Amino acid sequence: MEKIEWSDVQGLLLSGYPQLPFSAYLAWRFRPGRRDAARRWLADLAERLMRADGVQGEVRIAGATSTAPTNIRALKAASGSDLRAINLALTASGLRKFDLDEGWLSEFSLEFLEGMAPKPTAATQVPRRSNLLGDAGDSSPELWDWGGWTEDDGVDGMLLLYAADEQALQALVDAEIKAMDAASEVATSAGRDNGGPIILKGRLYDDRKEHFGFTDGISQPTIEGSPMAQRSKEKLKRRSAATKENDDGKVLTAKEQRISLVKPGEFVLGYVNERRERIPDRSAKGHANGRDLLRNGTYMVFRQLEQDVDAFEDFVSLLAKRLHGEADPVTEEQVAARLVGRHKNGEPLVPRAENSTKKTERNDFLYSHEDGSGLACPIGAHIRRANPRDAIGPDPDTALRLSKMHRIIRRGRPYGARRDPKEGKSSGNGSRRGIAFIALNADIAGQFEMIQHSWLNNAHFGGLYAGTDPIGHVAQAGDEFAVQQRPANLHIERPRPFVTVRGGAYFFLPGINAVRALAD
Amino acid sequence: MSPNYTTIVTPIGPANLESCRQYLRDHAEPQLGRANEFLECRPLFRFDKIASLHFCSFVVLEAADGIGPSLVFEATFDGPKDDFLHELLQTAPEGLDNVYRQCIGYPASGLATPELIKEYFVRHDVGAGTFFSGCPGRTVSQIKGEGRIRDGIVSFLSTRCQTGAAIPARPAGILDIVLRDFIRGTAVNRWAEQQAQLPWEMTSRKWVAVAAVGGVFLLACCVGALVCSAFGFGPEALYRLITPWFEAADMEVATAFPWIVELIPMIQPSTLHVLIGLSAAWLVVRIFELGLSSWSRDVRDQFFMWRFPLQLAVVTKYALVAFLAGIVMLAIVSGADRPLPLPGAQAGALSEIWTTLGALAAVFVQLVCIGLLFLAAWHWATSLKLAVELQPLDEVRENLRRLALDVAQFAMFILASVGVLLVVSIMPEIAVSGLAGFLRSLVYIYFLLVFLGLVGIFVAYFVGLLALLTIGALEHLDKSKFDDPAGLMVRACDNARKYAREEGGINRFQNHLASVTWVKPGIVRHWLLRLVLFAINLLARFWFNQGELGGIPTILSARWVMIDGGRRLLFLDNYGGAWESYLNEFIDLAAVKGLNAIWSNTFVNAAGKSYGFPATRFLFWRGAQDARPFKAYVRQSQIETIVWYGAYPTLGVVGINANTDTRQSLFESLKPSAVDSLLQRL
Repeated sequence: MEKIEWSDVQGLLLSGYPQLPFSAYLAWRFRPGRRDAARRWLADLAERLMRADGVQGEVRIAGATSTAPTNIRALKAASGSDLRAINLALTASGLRKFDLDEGWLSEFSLEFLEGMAPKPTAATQVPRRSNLLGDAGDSSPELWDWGGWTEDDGVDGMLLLYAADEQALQALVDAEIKAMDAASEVATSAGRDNGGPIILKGRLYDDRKEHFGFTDGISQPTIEGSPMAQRSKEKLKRRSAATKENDDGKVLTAKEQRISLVKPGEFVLGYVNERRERIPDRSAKGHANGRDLLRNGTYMVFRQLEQDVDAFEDFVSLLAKRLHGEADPVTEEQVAARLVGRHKNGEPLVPRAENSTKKTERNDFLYSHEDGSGLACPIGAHIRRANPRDAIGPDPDTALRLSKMHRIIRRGRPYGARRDPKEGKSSGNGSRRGIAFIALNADIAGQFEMIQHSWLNNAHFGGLYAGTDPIGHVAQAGDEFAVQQRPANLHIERPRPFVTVRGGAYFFLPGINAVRALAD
Repeated sequence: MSPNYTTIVTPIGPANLESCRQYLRDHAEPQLGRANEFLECRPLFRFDKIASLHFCSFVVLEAADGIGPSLVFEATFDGPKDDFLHELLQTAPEGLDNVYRQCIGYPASGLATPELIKEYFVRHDVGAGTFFSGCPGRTVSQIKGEGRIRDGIVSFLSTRCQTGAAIPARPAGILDIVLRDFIRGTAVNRWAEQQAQLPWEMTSRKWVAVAAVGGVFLLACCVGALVCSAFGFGPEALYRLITPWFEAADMEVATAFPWIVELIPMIQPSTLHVLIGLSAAWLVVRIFELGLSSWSRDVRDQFFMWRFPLQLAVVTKYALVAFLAGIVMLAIVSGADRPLPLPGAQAGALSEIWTTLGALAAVFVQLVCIGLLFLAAWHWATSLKLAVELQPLDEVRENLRRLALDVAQFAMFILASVGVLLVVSIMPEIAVSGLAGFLRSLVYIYFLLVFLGLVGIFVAYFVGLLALLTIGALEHLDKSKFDDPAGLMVRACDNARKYAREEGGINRFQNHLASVTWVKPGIVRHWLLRLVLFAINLLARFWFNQGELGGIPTILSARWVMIDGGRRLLFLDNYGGAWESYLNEFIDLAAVKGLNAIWSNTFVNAAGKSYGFPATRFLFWRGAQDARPFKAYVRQSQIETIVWYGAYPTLGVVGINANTDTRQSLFESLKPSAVDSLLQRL
């Protein structure tokens, strides 16, 4: 099997940095006419970026804490409050500032070049891409805080900063703003708080729950050739020795491997993907200056999704009253679980198979044989729409194979203060909260967008008749949520969506060498 | 009655092209409805007034390579074409006149003589070389009505549940309430009681397939007979060869393995030996076949060089089974023909009766043993079948499982045959002695037919191999003639305006794809494309008429037609869902072969260069599986859909067919499980 150059890949691809729960997403733009300063900044930054693995032969001095670790292996081993991680992503407009007449930009995919919210033209009232993503109504790019239609000049890139506590994060943000000051400035919001800097503070809570109260980020694809995949394969081979628990990290069972292992090319550019192709393929090789900017990079989708927790909870208690006669925490929990497909603690609704793991957050389930008709986990539930596993296709095997072509790695975190349960419903209106959604994939059109339009926003998903993702942002006439049950299915109309898109952009998460090449 | 179709291609003056396009955009393109209707027609083009119209669209073909520009109007409708055109001209006389006045050859009298306009349309109708419908036989009003019935039942049940009215616990009880109160009890819904008439192609699909297989077999027999005659073995000569062969084989094998003859004295040694020989041959062929067949169902795992011997192995396997069945028949006939082996015929001695009874008892014991063995094999086969229901096996074990399953089923077949032979052996002698000889000669004729069929199929495969090799050579030549379509990927931005309408507005649920490609030069390509289109048309009409075309469940209505004397291929397609996932289905499923077979004969022109379809291997393989060049090729070949109308723009093929099923099964006597799944579908 192909070896992946992990030391050239940015660390975000392999880890969500659970040891660094405080994060800031800082959108910036180049200052005009400062190309040299920009190159100096990128050259300096490239050496500070968190990598997925250490460079071979890198001198590692035990106990030397003068420099913070810049690869995940070292980060896991290290401890202390000064730990941090920096990752860098660029938009098409950011790359354009470097690509003056070389023409290498055309190697990037069309959707990346076009951006998440291309501005409407005379010919198209609403651009196709916004239609695809369902960004209309309250979520229309017209109303976005950033990345939308109203901005004059967009965002050129994003710094993803992670730290162990709040003070350290603030220090890191200040230091990075200072470091880039000569070349770039923090982008400013165009929406509600006009002119404010776009710095979104993400926070990974200990219980890993997002604002609606559900544990997030449980089901993730595992890249074949990643350390976790290697560990799991080895463990499976020497099954007899498996009684001894390894402490070198999580491993996957045979069934989990069948479900989650995905070819590297789906997430890292330059490797073989599930279609046995390579992006970029042979035709892209050997261009003018010999730089391969795409190699070891990936695309990053960033969306700021605001969550209306009050509206969601109102809807849930209304539903609970309708379904169970009364709204108490138990019935509300049951109803909310139906919408999402997992309980709030992460336990899936699909019943446990005989040899399944005992964990509550288990992920070793499929739909076709275990819950084909959706009686346990409704067909339209969020997790079933977002990753139908083996449910959508001519037969379960093929369906599972097909669904692996449409997976994303999610690295999003909640932003904004958590709603205090004791806090009154009316007083909560002022604070904004939501999720800073981050998806990594090698083909935005085939992965993130495809999930969005053909699964989440698709009224005809899996033989359904109407309705979209119950916790999605799309509003359509006749929106409903169908709960498969006996004797007859229940159809509940859903009011306006609980989630609104507030901003977003398509980014490119370059490999370390590509950043160096840009700075060259 | 399948939906009817018309494709009117009219030449248009180059000067009028842009104004015509703009006029259509401004006055004909339906709008997203503001009120209850999802889609709202313009006053000059009230397509929704035409009750029989499913889909229609306008596209414009630009002038290219010596061919003038033309306007294309496509429509799918119910009933005769004449009636539809008449209605169309009555509904949108002014609008159509404004459009077609700009076309060349349009009658100068215009609106004054609608008959002439109709005749003009008919003259320019190119029809469709291949037509597919996702819901054949359903009229527009039926599709809409069945949708309303489904929605009605859903809201009827919801209201029932909400008001707290007593709900029967059994599904059948709920269905009864629905039938009583909602269908029969509501005047507007009573029509749904009538069974819908589906076209005969749909209902007798299996019989058509059986007839086709039979026809192909007979054809193969004829080919085989011809080939054998050419080598000096006419059918009669072969027949005369077959008969003595069995006797000869009998003697030789019997002397070689006398112990077998002693083991089962009931069966004639000749049959037994042939039986064993054929079984061994079958097992070898089957192992060979499993070794060749790929374990995964991924089309990407199929290779031309492996497919060929694999399919021949499958054919040989079935021929061997057919021979085996013949041998068993022969044994039965022979068993009946022999004098009764039991000595009980001589009356008198008591001891002889005992002997007879003893022999009968022995046969009985043998039968019971065989029965038990049969049950054991059956159990084995069933458990092997169930083994993968819940947990799939890895590749090697899966193939071993399939082999074991085959062996089990084969053992069942052999055991059943032996059982029949045993029963036959104790039956009294057939009264009519001539019958056995007649039956035997029938079996010999059967052998002859199977042999000739096998020869015919092998010859056909040989010819097919030559044809595919020729195509392979053509493909190799094309590589130098046409540029790699990967070069089209950089043109994605330029092509983006062609498809700006997709997935939004009135196309949120259903989309339209219009594409025009050039047919590669040369007589072979031309006729190959015609042949492929003809074959797909047959398949679409007689086999893929249940809503799926080669496993793709999203096509509402599609047509392929060669225009300009076969120089270009026009493809017009109404499909559900988004473009990206629609193409992905083709790329990743077996339908890619049909797609390759059609479009590998085409190329597109862009920026002064000719780009071929992504290179196929032997017509069917690779090609569109190169996803990114393929998508770039489709985008390059795509032309802007200027006007699109759909009569039921929010429905999908799956939904339409499910609604028909629901309505059809409402008044059938259903099993409880069927009632349950009916309610689950709602």
